[in-house]
Formats: sequence, C-alpha cells, structure tokens
Amino acid sequence: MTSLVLSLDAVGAGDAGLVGGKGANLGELLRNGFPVPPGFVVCAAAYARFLEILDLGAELRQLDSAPPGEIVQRCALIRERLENGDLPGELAELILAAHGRLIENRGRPIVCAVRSSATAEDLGAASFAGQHGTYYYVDAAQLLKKVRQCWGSLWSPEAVSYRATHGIDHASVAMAVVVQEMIASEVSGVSFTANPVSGSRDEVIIESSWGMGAAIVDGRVTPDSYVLERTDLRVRTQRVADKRLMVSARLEAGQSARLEEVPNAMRRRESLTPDLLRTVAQWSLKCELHFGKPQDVEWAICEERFYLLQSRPITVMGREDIGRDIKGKYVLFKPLVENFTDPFTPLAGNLLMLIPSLLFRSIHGWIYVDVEAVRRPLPFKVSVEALADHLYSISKDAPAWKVSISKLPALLVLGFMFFLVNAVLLLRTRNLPDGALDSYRTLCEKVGADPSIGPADAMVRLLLLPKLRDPVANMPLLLNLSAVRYMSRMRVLRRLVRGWAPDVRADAEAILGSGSEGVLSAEMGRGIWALAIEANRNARVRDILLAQPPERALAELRPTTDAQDFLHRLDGFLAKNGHRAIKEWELRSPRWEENPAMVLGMVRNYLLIEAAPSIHEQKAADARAALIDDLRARLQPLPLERAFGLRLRLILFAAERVRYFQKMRENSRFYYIMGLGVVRKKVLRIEGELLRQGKLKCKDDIFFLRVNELAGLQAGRLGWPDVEDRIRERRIEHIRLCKMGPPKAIGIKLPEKYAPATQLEGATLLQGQPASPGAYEGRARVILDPSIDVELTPGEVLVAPYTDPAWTPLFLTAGAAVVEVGSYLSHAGTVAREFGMPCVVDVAEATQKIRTGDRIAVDGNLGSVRILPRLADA
Amino acid sequence: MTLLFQVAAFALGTYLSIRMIVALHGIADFWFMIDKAWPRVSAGVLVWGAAIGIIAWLMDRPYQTAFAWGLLIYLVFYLSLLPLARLYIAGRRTDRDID
Repeated sequence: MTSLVLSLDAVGAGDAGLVGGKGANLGELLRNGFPVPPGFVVCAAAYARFLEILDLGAELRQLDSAPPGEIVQRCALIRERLENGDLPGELAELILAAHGRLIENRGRPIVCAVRSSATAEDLGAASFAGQHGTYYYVDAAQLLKKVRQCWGSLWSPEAVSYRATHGIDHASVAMAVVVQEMIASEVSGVSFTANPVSGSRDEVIIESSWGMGAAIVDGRVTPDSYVLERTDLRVRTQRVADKRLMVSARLEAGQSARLEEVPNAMRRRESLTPDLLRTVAQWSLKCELHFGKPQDVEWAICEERFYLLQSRPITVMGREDIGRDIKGKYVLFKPLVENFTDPFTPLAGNLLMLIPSLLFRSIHGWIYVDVEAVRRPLPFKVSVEALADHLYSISKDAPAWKVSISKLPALLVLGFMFFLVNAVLLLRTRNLPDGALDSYRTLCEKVGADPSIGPADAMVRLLLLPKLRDPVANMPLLLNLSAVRYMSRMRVLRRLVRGWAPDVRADAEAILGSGSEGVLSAEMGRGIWALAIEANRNARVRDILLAQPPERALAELRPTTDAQDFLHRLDGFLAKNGHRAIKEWELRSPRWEENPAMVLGMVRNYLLIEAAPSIHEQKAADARAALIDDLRARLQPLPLERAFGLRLRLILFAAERVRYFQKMRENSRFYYIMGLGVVRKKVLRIEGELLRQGKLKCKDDIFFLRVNELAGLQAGRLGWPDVEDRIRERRIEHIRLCKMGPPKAIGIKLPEKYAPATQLEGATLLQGQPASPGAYEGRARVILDPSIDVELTPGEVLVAPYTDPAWTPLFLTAGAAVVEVGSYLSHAGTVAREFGMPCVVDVAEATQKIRTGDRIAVDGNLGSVRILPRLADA
Repeated sequence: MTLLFQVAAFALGTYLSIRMIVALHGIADFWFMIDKAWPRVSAGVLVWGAAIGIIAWLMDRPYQTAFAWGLLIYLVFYLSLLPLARLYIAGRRTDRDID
C-alpha cells in the first residue's frame, strides 16, 4: 500500500486530512474494536494527483474570485472532467488490487459501498449531509467509475453552494473515497445519542426500518421510532410505523429499481427486537464515549449481527439557523401555520408559488409573511417586531399603535385600488348558493383527462386563470380569499353581543357562529359515519374491519360477497371525497382515492364508539338554542326590544353572516384541494412515464425535482445521473427540516409566547391558546399521522401536531383535543366548537411532552393542559 | 360646482358599472340552477340595467358624459384584469423557470 490507497484499519482519528472525516472516523472505530465492515480508503492525495493530471489546479484557485453567476457553470465543467477522465494506470491498479484483497476468499459474491469522504466533512461545524456521492452495489467493473463520481460530487452545484454558504474555501477541500464491504442488512437505521432537535441529553433516539438504511436517510420510508432513557435504556416511547417500502439489500441481475414493497406481514411489525434495540443503543453510546461528543450513528443488522456504518458528531442546526442567509424580516402567519407544518417538497413549492402572493414568501418550503411588505402601507407607527408579534399573536396586551398621518394618503389610494379590483368579487360572493361550485368538479375531470395539459398549466387553469367558457375555474381560491370577511363579521357579532349582553357566556360568539348546514367537510364526516352504519349491518364486514389493519381489511373485503354493498358505498364516498388527503396542500400526499385504507381506518374508529356522532351535533344545537333563549331574556329589558326584537334579530343576522363566510371558507377549500388533486394526477402520470423510461428510479422522487427539471427529464435534456444527487440531497434536507419544524420568525427576534412547562401540584402544566371551551380529563393518545395511527379509543384526548379536514373523524371519537399549532380560527378549533368538545391549540411540543397513556386535564377556557401524575407515581 | 357634480356622476357611473357586472356574473354563478334562479338573475340584470338607463336619461349633458365615462372606464378596467393577471402569471412562470 502507498499513501494513495490505505486499508481502513490503518487510519485513525488524526488522519482526516489524508482520508477525509468519514474515512478517519471509520478507521478509528475499526482499530478500536467497533464492528465496522472491512474496507479501504482511496486517499485525498489520489484525488490531488488526479487533479494534477487533469491540470485543474489553476481552475480551482480561480473559483473563489469568479463571478457568482459563473461558478456553477465552471463547477459543472470541473465535475465533467473528473468523472470522465481516465485514472492513471498505477492508481487504478492500486485501487483494484485493494478491492481484490477485500473480496477474496469470502466464499460468496461481495459488492461494495463506495462513499465520499471529503476532508472538510463530518467535522462538527458543517455536516455536509447528503452533499457528496454514495454508491451501493458496486462491483469491480464499476468501481473506478464510482470513485471518479465521488470526486465529481465535490463539484455538484449543491455542494458548491453549501461550501459557499458555510464560508469554506473551494480549493481547500479534497475528497477521499471509502470503499467498504456492503452489508446486506435485514434491518438498518440511525441512532442519536442526544435529541438532535431539542438537544436533550437524557435520551437515545433510534429509527429503524427493513432493508438498507438509505431509505431512512433519504426519507423514503417512515421508520419505526424509539426513544430510550439514556440511563437504563428503558423504552420511553416507541412508534411502529407502517413501513410500506424498503431498499432491498440484494440486487438481482438486470434489476435497477431498488425500492420494493415490504411484504404485508412485515409492514406493521417492529423492525427491532428488544435485544437488538438494546444492542444498537449500547453501541451508539460506546461511540459517544469514544469520541466524547453526542453521535449520529448509522448502523445495520445482518444475520443478527450489528454493524456500525458511520458515526459522526450530531450537528444540531437550531431552528434559529434556518433562513440565516435570507435577507428581510419574516414571520409565520398564524392562521395558516396548521396547513404548512412540514415544508413543501420542491415540486409542490415550485408550483404553488405560481399563486400571486405579494405579502408571502416561501423559505425552505415554509410560507412566511414578509413583515416589511405588510408594514409599509400600514398607517401606523409600528416596529417590525411589534407587527410580527401581532401577526403571530404573541403579546396579548401590546400597546395600541399610533396612527401615522403621513401614510394615510397612500393607504387611501391603496384601499381604493383594492376596492376597484375586488369590488365585483366581494359583491358576487355575498349570497352564493351552496352548489355554486358544483361545476368545478366537471372542469377538473375535463382538465385531468386532457393529456396535453401539464401540471403547471393545470395549476394555472384550475386555480388561477379561468377560460371564458369555464368561469368557475379560479372561483374556489377567490372565494377562499373573500371568505376572510368572516373575521370582520365576527368582530361585529362580538360587539353586538358584548354591547347589549355583556354578561352572557364567554363563548357566546363561537356558539352562535357554529352549526352551518352544508359544510362539506362536516358532510364528509357524516359520510364516514354512514359507511360505519353500513358496516355495522353486516357482521362479516364489521369483523374484518375490526380484526385487520386497514390495508389488509380492504384486500379481504374486495372478494367477500357480503361486503359488496359496503364497497359500493365506499366507492360512492370516494367519488365525492377521494381527492382529500392528509396535508392536502402538499402534492406528494397520497389522496384517499389512491389509498382508501385511511378511510377504512376512520370507519373502524366509528365502529368502536357506541354513540352516534349526531349526538355531538345535537349537543351543540341545544347549546345554541339555549344561548339564543338566554340572549332573548337578557335583551328584553332594553327599550323597544320586547315589541320589535330588533337587537336579537341583528345579532342573529350577524351570526348568520359569520356562518355563511365560514362555510364559504371550508367549502372553497374542498374544491381547490380537488384542483390540486388533478395536478397531482398529472405529476403521477409523468412519473409513470419517467420510471418506464428509466429516467427516474424510485416512486416519489419526482416531488423532489423542480418543474424545469421535470421538463428537462421529459424532453431528454436531463437524465437520471443529472438528478440523482439532487434528489437525494433535497430528500435529506426535507426530512431534516420536517423534523425541526419552522422557526416562527426569520430576521426578527420574537419573545417566547408562553412560559415553559411548569410543575403544579405534581402535574406538568403546558400553556396554549383556548380554541373551544370546556374542561375534560382523560387518557392521552398521541397521533402524529392519522393514516398510520388511526385508532382512537372513545373518550381519549387527541394530541396532534396539527389538524386538517382529514383529521375530522377523529374528533368525533375524542373527548378533547390538544394541538401543537393553530389559532382560535384554525381547523381544530372550528371542528371542536362544532362538536362541543374542549380544545387547546398552540401547545408547543405537545406531542413530545405528552405520551400516549398519560392522564391529562384539558381546560379549553384557560388554554391549559395538565399532565397528571401517574397513579403509581402519585 | 359643475366639476364636483361631474366627479360624483363619474363615481356613480363606476358604482353602477360594478353592480351591472355583478348582475351579469349572476348568469354564470347561478347557471347550474338557472331553472329556479332565473327570476332572481334576470331581475338583477333588469334592475341595474334600468337604473343605469334611467339615471343617464335624467342627467344633463355634461353629467351624462361623466356618468358614461365612469361606466365605461370601470368596464374596460375590469375586462383588462384577466389579461393583466395572465401576463403577471406568465411573468412568474418565467421568473421561476417553470416550463
């Protein structure tokens, strides 16, 4: 061996400059007895030698001074030369000889993993996660090419931009390449010896799934997730995911698609036994002990043996670091937060940003309000911080803003222009009948069936710009915007009620504003209830639904003769509501019509409850009637009220207006989500074609492309090698951002909204915002994804990260609801008020602080949640 | 004073133009139930059409002209909104390199 190629066990922690961060780490672990798969490293010196031969030195030195617009172009040229140049004979021989030694006398064919190991990589300050190439299933024939591709990945646009952002000199970075035996893992995963999001040091987090770990790292599968106590490795919480896909460890000859379906029997099975879980945790902690810092460990299990694939320091990027490179001042818009808890995938974000949004901006896939743009026309003397505080509704008793006379003329002009542009819309939508958008479904079918209309055109056609013959086209979105008037109507209602009956119950306006007829999301809930009634009529259908997980239940119901009536009804339900989904703004979210199992899960929930959901509605209707009687009695003593009842009529009229606009808001959403469903179908059709042509390898990857890249693939200007790395990097980034959640503000320092959790008489007190009145005490059920955790025992308290209409049926079973995001006007609050159940929203980290099974007391009047001591602890 | 009345006539023309456009939109908005809604829809068109005609007929010449300009300018402005929106969206597609 020379210093160009070294055996992995010959390097150690101090050799990062020679073999890169990853190589040095792995070598260090291997020589200290950790179970790292054997391998060798093509040293950074080999890369430097190759650069010399290609005469690229001068080119690299000039990069830092190149104009920003040229850098990407220059990097592409460097990359192309690195990937296509011939390795010098001596170096190629050294690599192949080391490979020969690695695979000889093994008694079975060995394939390798070829992994980049940049000299600035994994060094704590910057993780470079996913920036550089990694290749699996590599045999001798592909080895040299893959080594060159690893070197080339140092010059991908993403890696270059990452270095530029982190102030790393391009010319100073070199690339070693680690070649290791590829472990044909049955189970694999990642573990963190500290919580990478909260920074908590008293827990170990393990995520695992079937097959190779790439699927977890890339976010292609939702893994099983375990949180262990660090001290005794007791399982604190665990969540077994529905693992639909896995990356196969063995690639058959001629097979290129690595992602395969997990057999049904394994999907909901725990991927780690308690013993293996302990083994993984122990090795992870040993890594931490060895390196002296919390570690992020990648591992694999093969034939019951544990293998350590990588260990690196956890690079915790706090929420506050997101958007640090963004100029301007932005804040999350509270009423929208619940719709966008996860960032948009690049494709969805790209398409949705076609919607004109002068005041909004997408940052890393999240929607923010541009505070400066809002402040500019406002006729108030208000600081950016105070305005952001107001938009995020933090300080309740903020001082009133002073009027700025100098801004008034500009505001008047702006208001007049707004009136001219929107007057027709506002007048048109004052009294639209319920079926005004019915023809939108026909338009969706027409646009969906036309193969000449692509996703971007469909987006424009169905949501933004109508054709003369289809004037309904942009109505759902316009109605949604104009329905914002319910806020002002609510204010009018509040003034009337509080002016004439100040002592009436505190939630009077909420009760008066609820109970609309014809709200499509509520009808959807009733439709599911009707399905449950149908299922209840037939013992066989009921038994299958109760005994089997939803996917299996559906497969079993299909051939069952007794189930045909039920299935017929289910098809009818899906024909009307099949475009709905969880996180339905996101194009990547599968719609119910694609996976009806989600609906079956909700039907199953209804089968578990004794009382009909209409009881909730009746309860709310009774409360409304009692309130109106109460109001009448309170108003009677006022002058002339007994004779004409004008005040009560005015209050009821204002309440009717609130209900009308609230219904308009909910129903218009039903339709524009239908439009987004059509756009998704278009994307899936293109995905099918690209998969057939081999331009994409895995389902779902398409959502990590941008629209112009999609067009490039379709037109043949781009191929799989051009997009592979981009997709992987974006997936990793996406999953990282999903875990972290959005910072509430960018470029602005905002105060914390609530005091941190406090202890009160042995209970932990969490503070949030009241969204529906009442008090309730019960067992908590933490549900992160209603498509997986569909079971909610009647009377349990639903604890959720967010809610949207897909969650509605769970509210019927729940005794109360606690939601991490949202406001009084959010979906959770609206539905909870309709059903007369207590609800507290905006409870930070509720799904982490509350565990399934905890006894909690929800106070919807005060907006507080108490986690009560367990009986044994009390 | 004349100028003030002319401005008022112009504003009235603008307002009635808005109401007339809304009434005409009613045809499309209620088309799915036009067999039941036609009295309401036609009443809207007739009432606002008649209001425009009668007011214009009652006005003296200089105010009549201002009133007509108000009607016409808002109509042109309203009709231009869609092409302008089309241009704006096309611009956004180019900005984002969306084919």
